[in-house]
Amino acid sequence: MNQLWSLGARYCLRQHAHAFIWFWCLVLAFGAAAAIERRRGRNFGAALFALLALLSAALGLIVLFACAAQAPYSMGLGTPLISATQLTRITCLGQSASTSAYLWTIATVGCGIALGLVSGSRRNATSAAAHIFSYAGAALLLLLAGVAGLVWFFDFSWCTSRRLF
Amino acid sequence: MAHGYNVVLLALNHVEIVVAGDLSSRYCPRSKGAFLLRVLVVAAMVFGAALMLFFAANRGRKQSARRAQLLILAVALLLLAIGGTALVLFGLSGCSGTAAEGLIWNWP
Repeated sequence: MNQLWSLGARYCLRQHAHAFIWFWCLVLAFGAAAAIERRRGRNFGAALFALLALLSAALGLIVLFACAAQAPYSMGLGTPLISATQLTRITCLGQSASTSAYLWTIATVGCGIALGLVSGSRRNATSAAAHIFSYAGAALLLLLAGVAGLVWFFDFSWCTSRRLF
Repeated sequence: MAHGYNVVLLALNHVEIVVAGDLSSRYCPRSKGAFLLRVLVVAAMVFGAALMLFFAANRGRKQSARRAQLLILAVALLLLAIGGTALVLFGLSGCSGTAAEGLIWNWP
């Protein structure tokens, strides 16, 4: 079974190669942003970017593990040790690797830019109009991030409810 | 009873072998050589970009903030080249059978 799991992990890496490399890009981009913020003495921004890097890595690993766990079952192996509900959940997680990666990108990059707009406005902007535009832009980006999160949640719920694998 | 148990074990083993064969042949490249060449070319391009950033960083003043940013970006690109290639090679190491038609891995 361990050998099947290992083969499944490699199969998933091939099937969703773009998504997993994208996750790796996100981890590196957020890690680099955290290092740059740390050097500028902005500890809050550094901590936030480091957290986003960790969360991106965790999400990528969760998707990979779910995909590897369900891969042998999707090929027709019996499922004596796993319930139908659990299998449905890991199948939905594993098969939506690209959707998860791109929606996670929209959500996190939206939050990061919104944070940059607000902090930049507080540090640099002098006119009221600049403040208004920055805060309005940040609000719109946060709304976009929220919509991306809702779309992911809806997609996952839809997948787990229809069970047509 | 023991005979029936052995039959079930043999059947399970047979299913596992078939599933392992499927997992080893789907999303595999037709030609591993051509595929590896393309992957290495892409990795070399990213690696080259990282090297250029290193050189650009070393041309500037030693203590400037811009130099630090360039170095951080260069390290990130270097890790992207190494990690991306490692992921692709790990995925490719699972291909042992003939490529399944219709499910060919043509990355990048």
